[in-house]
Amino acid sequence: MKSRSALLTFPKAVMDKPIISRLLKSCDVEVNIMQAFISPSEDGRMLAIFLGEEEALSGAFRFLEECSVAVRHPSRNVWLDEKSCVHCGACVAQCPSEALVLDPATLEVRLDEEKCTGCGLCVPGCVYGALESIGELLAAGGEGPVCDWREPGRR
Amino acid sequence: MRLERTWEEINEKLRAGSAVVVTAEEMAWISRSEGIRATAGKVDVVTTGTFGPMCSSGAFLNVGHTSPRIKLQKAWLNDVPAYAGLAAVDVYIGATSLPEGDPANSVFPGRFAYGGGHVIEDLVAGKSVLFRGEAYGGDCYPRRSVEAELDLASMGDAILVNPRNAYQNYNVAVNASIERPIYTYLGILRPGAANAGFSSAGQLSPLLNDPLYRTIGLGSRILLGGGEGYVCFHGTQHDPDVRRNERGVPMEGAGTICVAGDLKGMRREYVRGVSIRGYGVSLAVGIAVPVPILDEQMAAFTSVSDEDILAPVVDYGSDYPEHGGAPPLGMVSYAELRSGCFELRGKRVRCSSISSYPRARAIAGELRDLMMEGRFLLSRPVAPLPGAAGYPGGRPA
Repeated sequence: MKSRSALLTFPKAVMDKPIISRLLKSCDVEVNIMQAFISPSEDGRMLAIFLGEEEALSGAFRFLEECSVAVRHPSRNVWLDEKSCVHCGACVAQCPSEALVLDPATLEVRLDEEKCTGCGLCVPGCVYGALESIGELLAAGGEGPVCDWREPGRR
Repeated sequence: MRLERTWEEINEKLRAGSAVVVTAEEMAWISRSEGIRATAGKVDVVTTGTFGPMCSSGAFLNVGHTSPRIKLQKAWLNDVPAYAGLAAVDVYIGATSLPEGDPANSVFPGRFAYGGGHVIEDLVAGKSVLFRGEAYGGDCYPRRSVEAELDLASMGDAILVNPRNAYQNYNVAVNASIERPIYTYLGILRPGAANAGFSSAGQLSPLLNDPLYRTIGLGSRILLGGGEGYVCFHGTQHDPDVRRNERGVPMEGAGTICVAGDLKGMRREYVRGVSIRGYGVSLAVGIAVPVPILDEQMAAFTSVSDEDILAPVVDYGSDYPEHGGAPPLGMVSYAELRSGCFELRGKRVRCSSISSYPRARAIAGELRDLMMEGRFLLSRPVAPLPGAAGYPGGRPA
């Protein structure tokens, strides 16, 4: 099983179609919806984590593109700002996927981007303002200055 | 032969560059392999350190006189209210002060993005802040209002004062009684005591290396925020009369120190505003305190390691907010806390700190290096902390 996060953009024209339901019926993937902004008056946006085998994931993203949904993959789910981090470790106990860990030798915080699912639970746990998640950036109404998207289609 | 060193002898060696100075962490390693007696013979000074949020913090700022003069009645820095009930252009910016109009916890849990602690951090980082003041006017001080961009360099004086800091041990917080996450100053705590938050440098912490206050007292020269500072009094809530183990180490929050230093000599690395979700804003400060090894007892005290220091596990879902004085749910050592999880009543609890051990280690290391180079000497206290030997009502050391 692999996990991959994706930002989906739903054009207004497809807003009435149950695209995620159809996706789940036709592709062998699991979808965890982290953020969704869907309204009839503008393009909808959704941040979701897809779980499945490599082939099923590719199939799912192809399916979405065939439904006119733009699929982009954030280069990262969570940003750890080294200049602000003091390595207290408060984020570590908030991280359900153990992507944030303390290095046992230095007791400094390390972020394993492969393990990070982008849930964002670590962000409110950081009192020093050193963590930002893709979910928070979207909720704040933008893709953010630090948001470096991968080319669509490059997986 | 009984080993004894005087303050003066140690300072002589520091001046000559021949003193042996180690951090409290190194001291614990050395004495474990070489024994207390041999270590006491070798080491002259142990440097201790801590870095964590302490709400009892703030800065006195003399913002400089204007033409014509003003006697401030109300003042704001970046919209954060400062206390102006002092002399004409002296104000006090408290760490937990919130900007006018901050939503605070009206939508719970509040973000508390900016406040007094951040103003102090911005000043230390060399940024300018918008200063606004209002006054009622008078013959000496006719001006009624002022607005100016100010940075630290343009101010007359800026003195960081922590009426309470370097808490000697502290609570470990869990949420054992509320069926939702609670937002505490020790972190976000999930129900069922699923995780725990704590805040202490443990074996590196100043007062845990001098548990009976034999050497740390009024007038001790320290590093505060990375610059020079002093212990100027006992801290608020200083309580020497708590439960202690057989080595004198307190088993709960005990002694505290009031410290002050020149904000102009400090660095952002050790002076940080913090935004604690659902709780408020505060200021994290780094402190390092030297402890002279006057005799074997001081060598034994400074050899304390995380395994020897126990902290009480307190329910922040009920006992803490109720202030009911219920007994702790359990005791846990800092060695267990540092490992990332401990067992509470048969259940695994993940834990994390809101203070930074690596930063405490760094500031203790900076003080060690300064002392080894002869650039930082010991200052002998002019008066002891309450509870120290020789203090009225104090304990024999």
